[in-house]
Amino acid sequence: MSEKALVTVRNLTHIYPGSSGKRAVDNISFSIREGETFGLVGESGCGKTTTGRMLVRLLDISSGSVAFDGQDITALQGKELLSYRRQAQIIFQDPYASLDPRKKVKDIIAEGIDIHHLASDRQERDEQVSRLLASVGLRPEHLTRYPHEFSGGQRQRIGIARALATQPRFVVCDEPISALDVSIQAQVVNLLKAEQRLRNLTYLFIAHDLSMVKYISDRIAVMYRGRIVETGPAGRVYENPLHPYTRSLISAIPLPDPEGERKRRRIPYVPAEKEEGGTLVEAEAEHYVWTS
Amino acid sequence: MAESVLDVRHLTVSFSTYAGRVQAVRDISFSLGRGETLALVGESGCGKSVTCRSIMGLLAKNAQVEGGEILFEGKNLLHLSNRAMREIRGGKIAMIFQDPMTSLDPTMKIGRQIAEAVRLHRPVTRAAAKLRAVELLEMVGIEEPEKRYHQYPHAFSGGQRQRIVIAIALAADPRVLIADEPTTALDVTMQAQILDLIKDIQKRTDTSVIFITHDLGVVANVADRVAVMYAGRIIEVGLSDEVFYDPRHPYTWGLLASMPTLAAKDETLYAIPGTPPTLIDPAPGDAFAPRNPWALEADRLAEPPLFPVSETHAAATWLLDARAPHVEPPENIALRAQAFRKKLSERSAAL
Ligand SMILES: Nc1ncnc2c1ncn2[C@@H]1O[C@H](COP(=O)(O)OP(=O)(O)OP(=O)(O)O)[C@@H](O)[C@H]1O
Ligand SMILES: Nc1ncnc2c1ncn2[C@@H]1O[C@H](COP(=O)(O)OP(=O)(O)OP(=O)(O)O)[C@@H](O)[C@H]1O
Ligand SMILES: [Mg+2]
Ligand SMILES: [Mg+2]
Repeated sequence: MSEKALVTVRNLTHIYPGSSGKRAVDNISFSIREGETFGLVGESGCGKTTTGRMLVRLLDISSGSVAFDGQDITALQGKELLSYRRQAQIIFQDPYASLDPRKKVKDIIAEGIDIHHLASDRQERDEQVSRLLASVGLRPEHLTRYPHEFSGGQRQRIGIARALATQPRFVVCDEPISALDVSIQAQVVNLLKAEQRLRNLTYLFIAHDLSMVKYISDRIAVMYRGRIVETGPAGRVYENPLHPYTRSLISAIPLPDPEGERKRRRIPYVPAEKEEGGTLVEAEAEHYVWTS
Repeated sequence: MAESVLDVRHLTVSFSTYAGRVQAVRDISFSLGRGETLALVGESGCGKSVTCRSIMGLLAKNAQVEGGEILFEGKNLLHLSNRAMREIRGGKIAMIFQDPMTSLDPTMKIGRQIAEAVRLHRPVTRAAAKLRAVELLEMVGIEEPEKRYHQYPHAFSGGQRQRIVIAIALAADPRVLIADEPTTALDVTMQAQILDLIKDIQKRTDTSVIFITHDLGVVANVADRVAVMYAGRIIEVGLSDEVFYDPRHPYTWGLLASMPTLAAKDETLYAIPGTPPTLIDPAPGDAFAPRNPWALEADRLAEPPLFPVSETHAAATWLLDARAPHVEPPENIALRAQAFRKKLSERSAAL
């Protein structure tokens, strides 16, 4: 991992049309270094997917900016946008809605290869697709099946293979493993890490499974209601959580221990009435917390 | 165990596909007690959802039930007419589907979808159904429920959609609730709230729950009993304590070992080696054998039966056969087992 920022986000905001001005993402700033995994965690509905979709330009940026490798991509159009999309891919949160039901799996995985002309002939295309399929733990007989003929976790892995097909530099992974069982989670996480080492890939890793996020991420940001309330090196955020919401999150992680679960006490988080006008303040090296 | 509400016996389901016949569920049996929560766990593609869809009578067109029965209130659900099944579905037996978007109508406001579920099985006025729908939205943690009542599914985040689907399933006060990965899209605090909600309703109405999840932490939190599936079969079943603290099947050992702990940051996570087996013409013997470091010669020849470990605990591995060599489980599992035995002996000493 280098010190160079690959993705720089400044004052990013999104307001969905018809939501009477409510900011789904509210003025957030962060940067992701080249080769790094940046974890984004937070409450359901806090704006993680909205953020991820803006970064790959699937959703308009209401205000603020995103720079990729020094280039402002906030308003890219046409050819330039297409070229950016090859480099910046997304693994969608909903594996059901994001796969075209009329296409065979091999053609779904090859979508990016076709759009960006990454294979010189049919045979090369088939080879690339087979390699991708195997790397996510699916079987050759699956190539000719349709999405509805797969289990939830299998569909999620099709989405991962599709995102990696364009050999991107940056991938937004929107809950890529939450639909998977632990063993395949481990396989997919190991796969994502291996690809990262091999190609110096950069990830924005959205998840709510904190133990997995901690495991995979170099740095983490915790979001709450559209804002980043805490960010820092992964280990520090867990060992020394500063924001009460982060503490509440950590206290709620279920553990594979029935006896412990029966006795568990969670720390509830009750948000302060108004947290307007606050900022992120550096509490220790690289570790910031929202302070009003 | 309490009186059983639902009995699945020798259920066998396959799919015809271009590449051949997929044997997704092979001879599965379990029963579900009143007020009990049974967790179904196992690798992606092992047949959890297909098992539950069979109970609901909602299998894909290319599916074929090859055998078995599903007994509910004295009737075999597999023999009911479509009409009778529609009555039961969403009423006495409700299911939270793994894929929220396919169970929501994208063209209908979410409030109406919940209100209709309320009215489907209970004769209440429109106004009362609406009130109940708003209440349900609030219970599943959707803020500003009156306002959001009038929005369409696309305006909700992944986890919010999942919670709307939960509200619909709870609307009818079902006898049996089948929850297929109901909290996978939720952060842990919201997840905790939903689990508490389900437990609460269960306590009040004595609902029985089949809970599918791959999160063993969640299983530990909700389950009375656990059934572990592999390649279409149940390979270990027991009380939650038995499966977590004294697992006997090497696959269960592998599952427990692949959980990351908050303390660890190793370079690679433990992953069970190899890939799930093909379900088309599966090889003879134990389906897990090729990936099982403890596999015996017998595993390659014949499918192991479920060997009883206790009255409530059984596992399908030849390691439990009297002729098998003694095998020590991996260290982390042995430690769990030790702690469990200690607790048991303390308990019996106290009696
Ligand atoms: N199309 C839309 N129109 C209006 N509001 C929307 C739309 N999509 C999302 N929202 C709202 O914006 C907020 C942020 O949604 P987002 O999908 O980014 O959340 P998230 O953090 O990804 O949540 P989850 O963990 O549940 O997926 C939510 O309150 C959601 O209801
Ligand atoms: N309509 C279908 N046609 C062909 N095969 C199918 C069909 N539906 C499911 N399958 C296969 O049946 C097997 C069991 O699927 P099921 O959906 O029950 O898995 P699961 O245990 O729920 O997995 P997950 O945890 O990934 O949701 C899988 O291997 C899947 O590919
Ligand atoms: Mg999301
Ligand atoms: Mg499933």
